[in-house]
Amino acid sequence: MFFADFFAALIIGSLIVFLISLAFRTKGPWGSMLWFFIVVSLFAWVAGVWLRPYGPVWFGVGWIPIIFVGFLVAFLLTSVSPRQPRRPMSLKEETITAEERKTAVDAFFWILIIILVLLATSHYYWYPQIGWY
Amino acid sequence: MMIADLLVAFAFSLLIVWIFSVVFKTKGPWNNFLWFFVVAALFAWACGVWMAPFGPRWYGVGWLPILLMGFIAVLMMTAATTRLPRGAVKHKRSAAESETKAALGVVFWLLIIGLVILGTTHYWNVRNN
Repeated sequence: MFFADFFAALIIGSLIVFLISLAFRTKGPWGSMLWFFIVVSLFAWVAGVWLRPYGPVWFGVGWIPIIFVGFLVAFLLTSVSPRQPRRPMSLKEETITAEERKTAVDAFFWILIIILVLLATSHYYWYPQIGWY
Repeated sequence: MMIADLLVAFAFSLLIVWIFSVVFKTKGPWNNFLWFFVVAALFAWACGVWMAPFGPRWYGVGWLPILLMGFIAVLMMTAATTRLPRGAVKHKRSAAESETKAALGVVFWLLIIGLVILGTTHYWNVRNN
């Protein structure tokens, strides 16, 4: 189940990030689609394994909680991300460079990543009957 | 249970947001303590009540999942907030702060509505099962 959950979260996370980035013209708070995708997918994975199981199951994976939390986290991150305006800004308005808009991938980011991985993996340790496959 | 869960989520989130704002000198991605606290509390409530129950209970409230979700939400938002190094010059800080404020746009309200719906539908689901 471990790998099935993980790959489902990666696939769903990539689809959500792709849709959100197209719809809202953003690359997430870190200015990189890769980091945006990693955080959303990890949250989706954690949620998929820790939330109460509900909804249909596909190849042993309850995909509804993964989609719910994936979208939730993608929205949360999009709400705090710089987005490109639909109309071009005048020189006076455009005072922020793309580099300045980026939030640094710093210690906080890595703490978040480590906690998410530990949280998800500890679920399989906590419930050994679920198995790693 | 809904009111108790919500109160616990708000109390824990207030504490976590306050600790983070003092320790890391941040007001969250919107540079506003109130929005930072509201989003963290709603995230903790919505995800905490949907989690499979674990840990001790206090007056019927499984507070551990709520606490965990609140902490993760605050951590995620702090990670997504631009911070300047401690030694940064003051005028640079004020310029960067004004630039990195995220607008309270459509996405923000979608997030708030989504969290409220997610939290309340849990009780509707429990009642019907």
